Amino acid sequence: MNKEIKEMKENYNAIKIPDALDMAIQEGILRGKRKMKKSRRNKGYFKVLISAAAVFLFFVIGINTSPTFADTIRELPGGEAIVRVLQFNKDKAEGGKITDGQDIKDIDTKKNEDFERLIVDLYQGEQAANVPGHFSITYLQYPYSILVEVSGVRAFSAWDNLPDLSGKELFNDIYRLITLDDSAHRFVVTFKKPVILEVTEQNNPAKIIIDAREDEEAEKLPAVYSLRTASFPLGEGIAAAEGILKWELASANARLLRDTDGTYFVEEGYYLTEEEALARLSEVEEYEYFDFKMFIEKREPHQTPKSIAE
Amino acid sequence: MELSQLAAKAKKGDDNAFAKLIEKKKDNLYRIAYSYVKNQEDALDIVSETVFKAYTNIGTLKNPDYFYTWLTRITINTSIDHIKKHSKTIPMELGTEQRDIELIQTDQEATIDLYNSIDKLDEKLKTVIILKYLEDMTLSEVAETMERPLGTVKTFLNKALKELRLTLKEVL
Repeated sequence: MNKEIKEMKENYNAIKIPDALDMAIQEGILRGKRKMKKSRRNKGYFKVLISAAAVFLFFVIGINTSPTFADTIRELPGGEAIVRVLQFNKDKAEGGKITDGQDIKDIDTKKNEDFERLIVDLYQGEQAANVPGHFSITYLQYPYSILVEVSGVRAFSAWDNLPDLSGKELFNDIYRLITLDDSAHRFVVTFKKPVILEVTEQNNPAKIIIDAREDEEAEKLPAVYSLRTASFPLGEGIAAAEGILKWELASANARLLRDTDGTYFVEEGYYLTEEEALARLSEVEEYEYFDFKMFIEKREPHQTPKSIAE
Repeated sequence: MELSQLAAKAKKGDDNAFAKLIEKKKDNLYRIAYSYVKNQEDALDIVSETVFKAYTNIGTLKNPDYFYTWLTRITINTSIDHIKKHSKTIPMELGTEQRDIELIQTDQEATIDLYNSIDKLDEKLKTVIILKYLEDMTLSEVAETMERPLGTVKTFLNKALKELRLTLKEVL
């Protein structure tokens, strides 16, 4: 038996090691790296999502107890218009109906005693539209803001005549984003403070009404480390950076933002620690098809991003 | 550098240290996997999967001194899983690789029979034979790798040897 075992061992050691073994090992390591990257990233987002969820809680309370809804109905012209207060599902509210060819004709603001209102008028040709095109309003942080996206819209006449927001207590800035889709328009409204929002869809005439009240009970958010590009004038180059991050580097939170100088940049995401931001930075830098230089900017929750020259 | 130092570095996320550790033991990993599936393609799959699991789970390795024991355990478990999942693909006839062995060992038919007859053993018994006689582990290392008490491993070994002799007798 011993002799046989000895021979069996020789036989075992004679098993030919294929050249492909190194490739199989490389493949295993690569797959492992990808998985670890993914889970590290998810961890970072998770923390950010928790703080977003905390804010969202105030939304729900706000919507359900806000006195502004009654006010909205009273103030509507004619008093017979159909209105619908939209619920925020998570941090997003959606309304309107699928249509095409509308124009964001006018955006106006109104100051009430305890809230500030933004009114978006939608036209179909020369007439006010009946129902707004499908729209979504997403609440964002760093800085406090909402992203308004209206579909079925081919023109943005209001762009030349945006409301003056200086002197407003809550509204800080309003700016447009480039959209690589000619049937939708996006704009962002930023706030100086955390807010509770109420969104009302009005039909006949079609309006989107956004009311913001200061959220006095909002939790104090920590400063974050934003991983971002330098600032550029608004153009398709910068919009492409957003696309690459989103679709090729799995940066689910990549977004276009405007800085203090009115120029634009793409933020890959924001992180609670500099370490996490640096870790993600090295991953992004590894990707050869993304050739934007990236920066890490520390930002307070109310702070407008700085302009960074390349 | 010492193995345990390398393993400690790998645990902290040092990719180079991890690659070095695998490089040193890659032939062993392949041969163990091959002994279970007896064909190159599946053995390579198992090694790849083992490396993947080791890379993603190295954080759970408590004592870096046991890196190779741990890695061997992953290889064995992955091999057994692979067999369960692909039970239809295990060649019943001699595969190309086995013919290679046969060419090397033309005058050692008894050995080939023994090597083949371990396939008929229950997985636990087979593992003991591979680790003890082919990977040259001590019985306590085998026990550590299989996460079984030493006494149990001894029982497995005796049983395995008994069955092998029986099988051999039938063949001869």
